[in-house]
Amino acid sequence: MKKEVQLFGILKEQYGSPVFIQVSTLPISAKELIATFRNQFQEVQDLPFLIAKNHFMVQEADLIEVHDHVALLPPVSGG
Amino acid sequence: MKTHFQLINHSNGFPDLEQFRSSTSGAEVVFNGIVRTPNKGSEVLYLEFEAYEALFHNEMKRIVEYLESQFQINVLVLHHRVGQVLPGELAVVAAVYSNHRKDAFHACEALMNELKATVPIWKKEFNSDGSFWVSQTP
Repeated sequence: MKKEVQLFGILKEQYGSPVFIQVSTLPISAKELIATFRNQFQEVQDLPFLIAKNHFMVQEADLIEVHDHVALLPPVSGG
Repeated sequence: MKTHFQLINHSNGFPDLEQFRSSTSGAEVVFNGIVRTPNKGSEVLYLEFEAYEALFHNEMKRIVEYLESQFQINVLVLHHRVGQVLPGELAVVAAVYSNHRKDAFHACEALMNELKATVPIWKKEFNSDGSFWVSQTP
């Protein structure tokens, strides 16, 4: 199945937004989703980024469900 | 504590801070972040800011809770531009109103530190040599 993921900044510029990540099952941990994204978009291997679920930051152990809104966030640089 | 957080599309869109002043706040500390040129030897043509607005507001709520636990604050204001911002224009205005100056100074600095560390805003610099995404955190 595919999980829709919103991208921002350099990720959005590189891949567009949203993108669809192929996952074997849902729910999946945020850590696993990030690993899957890195596997399918290999140019970002060295880029650190965070993940948000339903417009809140989440930890790697948090689960991503089918209907969750998910966003991957490259390094921020406001100010 | 009152708060006012806003993403702004136009250079003249910053609200007047007069509305946040009151007789109960003896101190007003304002930080104005201005687009600077040159940067690292290149002439900056403009910065392009992008924000994740829903997460911006949720992150600001978290920052409010943190700052409120550390400082005495009456009003907290953060206005940040999105879109294209030219050199000399304001990119961000942070203002803290407190009973006394010490809390206002420290809270304003802490607000800017939190902004740069966690608030979902991204900046791309366009300069005389090309362009690049500014990377600060994580």
